[in-house]
Amino acid sequence: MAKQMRDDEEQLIARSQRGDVNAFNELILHYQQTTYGVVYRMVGNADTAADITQDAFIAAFRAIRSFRGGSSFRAWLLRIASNMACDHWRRTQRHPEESLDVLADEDEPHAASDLSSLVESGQEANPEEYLLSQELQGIIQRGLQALPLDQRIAVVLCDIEGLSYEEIALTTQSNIGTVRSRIARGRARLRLYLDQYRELLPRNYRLPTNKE
Amino acid sequence: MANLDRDRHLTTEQLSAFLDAQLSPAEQVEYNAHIESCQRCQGALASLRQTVALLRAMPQPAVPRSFALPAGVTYLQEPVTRQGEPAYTPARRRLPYYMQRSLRIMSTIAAVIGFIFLLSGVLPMLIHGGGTMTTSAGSATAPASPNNKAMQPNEKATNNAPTHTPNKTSPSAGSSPNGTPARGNTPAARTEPKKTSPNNQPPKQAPPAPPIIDLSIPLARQALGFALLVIGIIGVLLTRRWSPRRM
Repeated sequence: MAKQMRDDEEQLIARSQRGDVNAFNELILHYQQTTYGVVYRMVGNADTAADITQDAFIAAFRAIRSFRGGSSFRAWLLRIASNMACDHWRRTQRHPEESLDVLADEDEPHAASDLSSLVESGQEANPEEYLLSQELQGIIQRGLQALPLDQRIAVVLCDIEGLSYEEIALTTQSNIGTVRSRIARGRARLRLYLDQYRELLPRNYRLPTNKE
Repeated sequence: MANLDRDRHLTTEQLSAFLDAQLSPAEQVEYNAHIESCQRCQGALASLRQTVALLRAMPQPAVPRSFALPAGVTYLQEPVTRQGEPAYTPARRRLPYYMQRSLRIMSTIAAVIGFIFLLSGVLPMLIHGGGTMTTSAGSATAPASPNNKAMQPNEKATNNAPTHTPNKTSPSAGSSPNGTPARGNTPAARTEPKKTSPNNQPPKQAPPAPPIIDLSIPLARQALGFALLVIGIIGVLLTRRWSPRRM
């Protein structure tokens, strides 16, 4: 089955390389969740993330002839998208006045439109827990955004998107050792950051060591 | 790697890799044995694991819309580039046109001035080299600087009365730092001392205390000229590369 999917993907890529937009749109359909998710976690704003994702798909279609078959298409796609996200991040950091509204949103988790878009699933049971969880998500997102870009992309790909070290190395064009150390440093930094919010952490996360 | 003692602890990187089972089987077993016997590493691993668990619990953000490309639009596809590298270039912020233009003009001016300086150092040698004083061309440039320093006090003394002695101190009245060359067709000698200094004179006059770079030393002048030329050429090249798209 996995092989079937691989073959399908290779065919779609080959057709896209001949300029077939419809074939590429099938690839987009398959990868837009991951791509948007990575970009969103990188920049922390829904509208910006949507724009960057769209731009990344256009750039990918235009450059698809330079994709070599046999390697991971997902990694190739995520490389384009994360590069653009990093680029955007550097640009807005250099011109902070452009990102003022983003900061304002961050300071007020309840009014934030980008936080509400996070929640649409899962925790409908208890409104109190729902609220806590939303707050916590905002905190973790801010923690991610406080990481240096290389660590941020490594942690997002590994712990949020669940990519293997090998695929992360492909995406970020680095070697496994670098990936390993970036993930470790990013996690350590996040752990320090989250320590300030210890009392907000849900009970079942407090000591998850026992069984897993 | 069997050197884990009781007193040595695992680094964060080792713990993190252990958590992801990214170690060799031997290391995995070894680290596991250490962690089981070490309170501190247990704690560190637990909090690391908690951080990872929180990250894993983050929900996927809902995709706000479909990102499918409209089929009616034609997208220019790039030809195959090297090594599967997407030919994505970050949007470079271009300078406004007038700035490019003035930059280019300034670079051109710098290049021209630099070129003139260079010439002003070379020309005297050429002229004298062609004439009778083949040796004095070399001596006119090289030992000029010690001479200059020797002349300084003398210069100041005679400064008040600009005597027209053809030998040493003539152009100092103008107090211009580049009074030296004064050799007819040398473009650097375009300043006022032209009228006071006789034409066929070796460049031994010392200018009064030049500010930063002693332009009377041919070597310094040439170095400055070379630097200006290089800067100017770089400036012109840089601005030229952008300009066609703008115009």
